[in-house]
Amino acid sequence: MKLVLKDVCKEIRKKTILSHIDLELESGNVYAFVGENGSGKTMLFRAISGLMDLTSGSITLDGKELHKDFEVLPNLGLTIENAGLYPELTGMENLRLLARLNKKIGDEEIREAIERVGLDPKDRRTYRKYSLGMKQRIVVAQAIMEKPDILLLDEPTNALDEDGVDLVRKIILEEKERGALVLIADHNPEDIRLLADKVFYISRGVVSEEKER
Amino acid sequence: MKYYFRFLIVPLLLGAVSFLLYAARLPEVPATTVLLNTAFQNTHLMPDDIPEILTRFLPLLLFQIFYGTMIYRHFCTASIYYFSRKTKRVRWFLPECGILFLYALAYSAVLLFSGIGIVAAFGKLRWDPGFLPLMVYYLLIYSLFLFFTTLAINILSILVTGSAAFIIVEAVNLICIAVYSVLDPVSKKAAGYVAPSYVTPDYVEPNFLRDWMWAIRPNFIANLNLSLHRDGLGVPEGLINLKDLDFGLNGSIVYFLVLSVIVIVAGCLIVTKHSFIESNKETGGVFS
Repeated sequence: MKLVLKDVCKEIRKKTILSHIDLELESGNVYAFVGENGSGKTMLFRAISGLMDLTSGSITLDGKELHKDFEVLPNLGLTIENAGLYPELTGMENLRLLARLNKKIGDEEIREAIERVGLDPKDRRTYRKYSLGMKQRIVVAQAIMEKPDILLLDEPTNALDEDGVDLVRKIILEEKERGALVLIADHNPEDIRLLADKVFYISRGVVSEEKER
Repeated sequence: MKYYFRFLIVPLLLGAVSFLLYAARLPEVPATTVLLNTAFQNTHLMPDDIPEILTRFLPLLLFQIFYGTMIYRHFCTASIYYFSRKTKRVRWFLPECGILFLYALAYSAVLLFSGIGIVAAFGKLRWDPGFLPLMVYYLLIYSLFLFFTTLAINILSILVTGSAAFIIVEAVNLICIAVYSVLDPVSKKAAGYVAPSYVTPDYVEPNFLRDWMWAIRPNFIANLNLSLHRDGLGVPEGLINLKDLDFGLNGSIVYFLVLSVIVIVAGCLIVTKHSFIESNKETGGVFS
């Protein structure tokens, strides 16, 4: 599976958010995007997912173009910084509601994903009552539960304790082994270098490549 | 969807409460009277009737509050995770509209039949021949009104946030109520009519409202007041066509149907074109 970004640009109210981005990304690899807050990492992930339209340029997946052949990337797992789940539902109910949209998995796979991030599927607390770390874990669980072909993880270790960080790193490597194309965004380059096959720097919407490992 | 089912308790209680006293007071109540009472009967386009109009409007307002975020809530905190799983948003949106309409239909039916149930239980209910056809009109007109106004709140919320959308739609409703409640005196004043100081028993007040159909026809409240409509349907005299206007029930259905189609088409465009540039912090919950 090959994801290609060609001259991707995004302007919002005449301000350049993403500037002439060219990338070729292949499955079975982990690509990291490092940059300070506000550098454009989250916007890049929103653009790649298809949830945000482009001002110019194109994004193709195996030759099929986003926004022409499909509205969002198919079989995508995603976490975006500051995006939460339904506050009035439990973790299990949240994931069940999301899983029902594509009907690819049942309760057993949902329970498995919740256990994989170290939470209890039987927890009756609503998402609203979760701690920040639990919220982050359940969001990661929704991203991986359907065994996506492409995984976009924006600051996936935010608010996590040391155990949580280790767990997410382990999940990222497992997903890579499974053959998924994994993209991670983080503001901490040290965290990310341990996992990534290739690291990109992003600053003011411009992406530059670090030498390959 | 189960979450929204619980709100059907509201019309059940409101319908019952509004007829509890009424049921015991009269020896026999025709079912049509219960229906027309639920449908803005006894509101005569005069400012004195504003409290009555607002009371009759309350159940409709509550529907708009409870179901005003039913579709919009997916555009709130979890929107990123919800819509990253939907490759065709219109295919998702149209069935959601269908579910909202079914809730509107169920809500209108529960409001009517809880009142009828109370009258049957505590008073004496009479099934009159005009009831059945009028009930069909009532269900269609009320569910279409509830549907398109509540869908409008859901759709506008995507553009301007939930509370702003609610204020916009309710402002339109309030304008309709305000216009409706002054039509009788305004039409008389415009015609230069001065009420005679002494009237004989056979004096018939001239009907100036017929010249004001341009203001009555588009008014939501006028369309919801079934007693103002022309079509008899076997309903006893004095219960319907109260103002002798050229105002058909079919016209009200067509009017609300056209508005529903406009809101659905606008919704399809807005839902499809919506770009998730910022994370929406609204929860989309009714009480949160």
